[in-house]
Amino acid sequence: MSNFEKIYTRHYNTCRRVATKLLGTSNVVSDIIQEVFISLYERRKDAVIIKQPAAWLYRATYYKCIDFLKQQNRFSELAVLSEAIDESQSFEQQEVYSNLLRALNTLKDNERLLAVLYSEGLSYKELADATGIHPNSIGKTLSRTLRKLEKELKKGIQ
Amino acid sequence: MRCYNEAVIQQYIDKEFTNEEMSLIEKHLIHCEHCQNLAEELRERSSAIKNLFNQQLISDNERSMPTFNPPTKRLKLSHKRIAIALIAAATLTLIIITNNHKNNTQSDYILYQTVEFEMDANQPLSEQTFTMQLMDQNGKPIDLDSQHF
Repeated sequence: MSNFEKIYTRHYNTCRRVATKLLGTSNVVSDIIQEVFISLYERRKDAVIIKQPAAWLYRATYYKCIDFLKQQNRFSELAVLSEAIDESQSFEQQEVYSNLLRALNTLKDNERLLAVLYSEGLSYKELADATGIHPNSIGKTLSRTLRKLEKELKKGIQ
Repeated sequence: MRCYNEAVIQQYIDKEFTNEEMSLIEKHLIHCEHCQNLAEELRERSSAIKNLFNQQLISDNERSMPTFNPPTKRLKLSHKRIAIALIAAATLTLIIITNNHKNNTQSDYILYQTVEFEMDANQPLSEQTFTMQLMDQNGKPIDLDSQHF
C-alpha cells in the first residue's frame, strides 16, 4: 500500500465527518472530500504534507466547506441553512441542527474549526497543528470557544 | 491555594496535562468546591457540544469509504495551443500536397484526343479498322510497344 493510500484510509472518515458537521448530510460532502484528496494527491510530495498530513487534510476540508458555503451564500442567509438539513431526520433533530449551525456561524474561522475538530476527539497537539493556534493556548481558546458556543446555543433554544 | 481558571480546568478535563500536573490539580479539586463545580460544569458542556455535533452523523454512518481514483493528467487546451496546432497541421498538409504534385507530373500523360478517320458506314463494324497514335505533351509520338502501361 502506498503512502498516499495509507493516509487516505486513515483519514477519509474523519474528513468526511468534519465536512458533514459543517454542511449537514448533504450530497456535496462526498464531492468535497474527493476534491480534498485529489489536491492532496497532487501535492503529495510537498514537505508540509509529508510532515503533517492530517493537519493539512482537516484544514483543506474545512476551507473547501467554507468555500462551498460562501458560494451558496449560506453563511449570510440563515434561512437557507435549512437546505443543508437531512429530510429523513425528525423535525426536532432538524431544529437542533440548524441551531448548531447558526451558533457555529457566530464563531471566528479558527474557533469554528477548533470546535468541530474538538468534537472529533483530537488531542490538543493535533488541534494546534490543524488550526495554527499555539499549543499552549489551546486550552484557553477552546474554553472560550465552547463558552461562546454554549451561549449561542442557549439563545437559539429560548 | 489559588483557584484555577477555566482554561486550566478545560485542559484538565481533556486530560492534556502531564501526570504530575494532573495530580496537582486533582489535589486542589478535593478541597475546592468552586473548582469541582467548574470542572463538572465544563465536563458537561464539552460532552453536550460533542454529542450535538455527533448527532448529525447518525444518518451518515452507513456510508462506506469509496476507493480513490487518482486523477488522470489532462492536457489543458488553450485557444493559443489550438491555433498553433491548426497552423502546424495546415502547413504540413500543404507541404505534403505540393510534394506529391511535383512527383506526379513526371509520369503523367495527357491525352490530346484528335480523332480523324474515314469509315464506310455500310461496312460491318468488325471489318472496320482504325489506328491510334499516342503523343506526349511535346507532340512526340509514343511508341506503344516500348511503354509499360
